[in-house]
Amino acid sequence: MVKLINIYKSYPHPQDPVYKYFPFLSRNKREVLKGVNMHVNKGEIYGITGENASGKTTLLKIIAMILLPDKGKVVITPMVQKKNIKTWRRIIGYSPSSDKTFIPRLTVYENLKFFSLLQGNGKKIEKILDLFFLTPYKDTPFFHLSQGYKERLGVARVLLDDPFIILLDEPARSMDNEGIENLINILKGFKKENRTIILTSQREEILKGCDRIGKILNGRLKDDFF
Amino acid sequence: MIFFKTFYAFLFKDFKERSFYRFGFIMDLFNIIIGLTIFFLLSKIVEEKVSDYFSFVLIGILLQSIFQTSVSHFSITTSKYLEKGLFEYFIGSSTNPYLLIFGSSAYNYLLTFVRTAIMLVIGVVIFKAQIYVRNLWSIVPFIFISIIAFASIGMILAGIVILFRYEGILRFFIIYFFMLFSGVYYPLDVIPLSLRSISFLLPLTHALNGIREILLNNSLKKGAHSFLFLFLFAVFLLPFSYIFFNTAIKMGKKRGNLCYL
Repeated sequence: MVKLINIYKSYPHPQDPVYKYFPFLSRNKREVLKGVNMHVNKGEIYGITGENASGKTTLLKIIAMILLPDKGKVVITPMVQKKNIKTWRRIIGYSPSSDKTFIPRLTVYENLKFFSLLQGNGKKIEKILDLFFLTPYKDTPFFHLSQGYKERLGVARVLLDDPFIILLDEPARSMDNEGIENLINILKGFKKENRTIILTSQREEILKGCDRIGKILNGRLKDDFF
Repeated sequence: MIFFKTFYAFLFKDFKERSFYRFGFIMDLFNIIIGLTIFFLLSKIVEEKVSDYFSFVLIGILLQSIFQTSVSHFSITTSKYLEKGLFEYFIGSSTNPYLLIFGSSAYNYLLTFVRTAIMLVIGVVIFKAQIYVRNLWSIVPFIFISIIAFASIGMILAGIVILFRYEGILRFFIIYFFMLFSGVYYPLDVIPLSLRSISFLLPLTHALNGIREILLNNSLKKGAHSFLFLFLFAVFLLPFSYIFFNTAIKMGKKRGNLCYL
């Protein structure tokens, strides 16, 4: 279960001259999240949608503890103390939207091996490649992959840590319909394993596969949007 | 265990990545030979005033190479990872970010050690540098403690990158400042007396003094004296850099400085 209670988050204003030279001294802020409440149950697929720069990614990063909220609380079960950051990160797997987080010259397999050495165990790589239909591309350098396959690899990487809670930031921006269908099937498989999935997307095809959808409007989350 | 696993992961990644450019290693060897030849020829002029300048400067270049790797690499990597969004991905993973940035330098250190070993061999065999080869074993702890002190400065710079998002100018300033006052290319005697106390405050000075005493003058006792100063620097700088780096990450998390937006 993931529960967000009254989350507020603001960023320094990028046009603030103080921010340009001393980012941590800037007081001129732009409020992105203004009291977000959210409750996602165990074994649920929850979709977050919203316009560009509405705060979808920020929300995921707060759950992943990559960002700290200005105000509010994140509660996850199995109960983890916020101070026990190592356990928190073992439970939560976060997949960022940027494909720049992969090493371009390494092959698909080598990329997964590198990240598995850092965070998981190498034994599962073959299984994960199979699950995402990436086995035929395992020896292809990452920069040769199409955008859709890069996104598949992004979702695949999150499984290396075997997390209970999976956070996917725009997992299917460039995927074709077949890719999205496969992804939804995989996510439903996770659901059966009682894993919680929270994803952000603007594509209707992927949001249709979610159990519930929330939309961020003016810094607040409107639950059960559709 | 996690320490070795992290180092192995980065060694694996960097080896695979750099083996894309196979000629890089050969070019590097040429650079070493050209660099040493320049100093060898220069020593012909300088040796009219200073005896055995080549051996003196060889030690300087070797240690400068280790110093430069330690000070530069962490901040350059942090900057690169911040831009790519890889840094915040690492922050979200279960491995300690300090260890990750430290581990990311494994390949560079390995390369630096190989390079310095080749430099030393070429310096002694081809250019006939006069060093006490039998004392080489005793500089191992020197190198180890020097790396801790230098790498701590590098980690502080990496923390500054997180806070300010720029580092190039400061990095170059630190490297040139150390080179100016530590006696890499010339003995400290040539520095004006009023400025010589600055040299005393730099760990590179003590590392150079100690290693030169051991390898050039065969004086282990004087070397041990420098080792003590170097050790004190390492004991102070290592925990300070750890606290500083982690505080920078904490502030970055709060302000959103770690994010690729």
